[in-house]
Amino acid sequence: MLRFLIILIGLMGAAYAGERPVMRVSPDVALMLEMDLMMLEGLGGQILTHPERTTVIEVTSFSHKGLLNENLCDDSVSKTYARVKHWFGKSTIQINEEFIRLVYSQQDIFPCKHGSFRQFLTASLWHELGHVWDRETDFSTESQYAALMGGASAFKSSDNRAAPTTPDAYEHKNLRESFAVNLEWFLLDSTFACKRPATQALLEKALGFRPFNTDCDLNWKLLTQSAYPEDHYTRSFDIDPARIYQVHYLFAGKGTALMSRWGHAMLRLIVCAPHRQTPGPECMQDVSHHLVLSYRASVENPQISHWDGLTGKYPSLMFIYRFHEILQEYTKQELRELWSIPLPLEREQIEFFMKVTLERFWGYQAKYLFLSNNCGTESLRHLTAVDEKLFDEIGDFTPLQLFRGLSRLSGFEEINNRKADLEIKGLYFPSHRPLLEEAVMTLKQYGLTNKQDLKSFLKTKAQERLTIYQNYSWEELSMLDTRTVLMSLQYIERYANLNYNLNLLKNITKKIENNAELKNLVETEIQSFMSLSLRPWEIVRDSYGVPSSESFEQQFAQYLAKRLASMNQSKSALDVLLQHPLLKQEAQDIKNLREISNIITIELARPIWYRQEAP
Amino acid sequence: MKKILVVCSLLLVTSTVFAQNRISAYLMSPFALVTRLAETGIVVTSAGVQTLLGPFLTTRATLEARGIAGQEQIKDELLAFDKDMRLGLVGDIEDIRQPGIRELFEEISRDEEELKRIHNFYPEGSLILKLSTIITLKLFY
Repeated sequence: MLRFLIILIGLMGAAYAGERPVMRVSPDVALMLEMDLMMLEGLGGQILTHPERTTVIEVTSFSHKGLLNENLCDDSVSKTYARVKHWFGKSTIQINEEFIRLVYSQQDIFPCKHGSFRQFLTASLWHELGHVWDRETDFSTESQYAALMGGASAFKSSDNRAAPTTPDAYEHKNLRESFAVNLEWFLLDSTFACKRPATQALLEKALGFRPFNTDCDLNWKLLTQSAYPEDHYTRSFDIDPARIYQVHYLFAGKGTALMSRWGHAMLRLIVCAPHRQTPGPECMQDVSHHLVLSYRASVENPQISHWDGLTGKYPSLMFIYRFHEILQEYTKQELRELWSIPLPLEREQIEFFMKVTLERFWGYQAKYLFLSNNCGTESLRHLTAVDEKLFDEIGDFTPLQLFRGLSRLSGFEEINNRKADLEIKGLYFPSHRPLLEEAVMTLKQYGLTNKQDLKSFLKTKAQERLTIYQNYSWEELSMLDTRTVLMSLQYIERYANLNYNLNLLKNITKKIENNAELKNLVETEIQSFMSLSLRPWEIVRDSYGVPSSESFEQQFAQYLAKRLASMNQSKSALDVLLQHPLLKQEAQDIKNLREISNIITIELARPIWYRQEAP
Repeated sequence: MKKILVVCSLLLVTSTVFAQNRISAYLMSPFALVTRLAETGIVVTSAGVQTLLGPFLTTRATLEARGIAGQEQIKDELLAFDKDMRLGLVGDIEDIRQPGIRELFEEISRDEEELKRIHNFYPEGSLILKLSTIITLKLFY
């Protein structure tokens, strides 16, 4: 019966150009391996079981093994189960004879990888057959696959890779091993399509078959990150492609800091509000639902080290923010312009873009290199993973080059001189600088400052400004003038507050470094803020890849409950911190800023009823 | 690692500085809403204003759903919006040029129950006027 099946499948395989591998092994091992080949063909994998290269399978003694039971789940121990050698058009798959011995002698199930030695033998054979196929096609190194995995540079060192989210850390060795490991799981895990949906799609397309026809329930939810602790990992968003109108390239113009001279590259998702039936141009108005993907160095210190950025000390991660937060960060905090270029993606490409996004959010981490692996290269790789041809000719060295290239591609270049029109369409967002300068002038006009411009206004002490506001004769202003002044005042004082705190961070960090007592206080009092450095897969995690909807709902709810409890503790801990003598001046500054806020709020309520004095 | 704790602590301070204020009752008299406050005997504090605005559940939820950055964005947009209002450029929600405020007002106005509550509370004035008043109070108190 078995012989009949082998002949039948052999005939089926005749449609493929190549031939089945030649077995140079004992009959009992050959039988096992034949069963594995049959199983692979049963899944539709004839393209792998009939390599175009002459392929031989043999069992040999390896010089290094490491195949001990206690080492099985330890990825730090090097183990060789099998390997393939390519030589003049011929490939030889060598299986470790110790491995074969374990397959026969050990029936135990182990809690990692493929679960048993027998299953592991199957996976290893398919893994090596994958290498043979990849040798012919160069699929792993020259296609969208390489872009999806972060390019060859992502594999130069494994210390920044997201080890906890991998089914097998060996995939981080290089692109070819990445492909072979993913192939194993593509062939053996019926839920792979939901765990690595973008990889699944690329493998299906390249190999021409789908091993499992069961439709798993892909979880489109992800968590948004934020610089504000209250908003960090506290909300989930659905990026189901059915709710996405467009994808834009979002470009922040150059800033004053060294690392922002080339601008910053981001990707904006035009997510439609839940009440929209179908995606369309009206979704451009749903700004609070729009999301931004931003590849950044994960820096956990306000004192950014340029040297560390140049030498790959920071991990490169894809962060997801709400669009409003990016607007605040760039146009207000950094006083930079933002350009939003719609990318010419079809619906199918948008769907694939979202799969890439999901897969990367839940498991991608590479090494940030300021010159060679930055936000521009990472963003372009994200796009290339979606469609390598469309973005083939875009320069990728800097975000600015990407801006110019994508502007040409999208026809955006022709219209980008009309900023006012673009602003109305939601495609351009100016810096706050002109409005802030105007606000200073308004205050000067009403005698609330003697400063000529924003720069000099920001140099004034909060105490100095507070005194002016406290002594000001608000009652003498008309209701309408009060409103005008206070709108400008709240606007610029909130900016001054933000600016003060950004500088304060650096000063306090220095104080902490030089004072063990303060450092200890921070460590013991504000533990809950540890969550800000968490990776998404440390909040919600399945065995690997994108978590299922069930895991997501359950684990995220648990995380939120703990998080809310710790946030409340943190607020009181902050008061404790500000009572430290070393932070006396900071505490006073913050008190003054609050007083300014009080005055504005009190006065703002007076003329808020517009009807009182219509123009 | 620990340095980030301080960074975050300070961001927390930033976000709450403009939200913890008390209001002096005597300054409120020209303001219709506060007159109502006085009539109902509610202590005129930030908490008092929030109590008064308590029934506007959709308004509160839509603002909170935007997170801190979203609320900051709307506060920023109020400057230009206020100018447009004074110039008489805003007759309807569609006329609003500030994207965050326009989206917010549209979202609130889709809830008919909320609109009834707002109209009952404020029998006079345009919808834009009522919404902008409530939003300003919600954001600054």
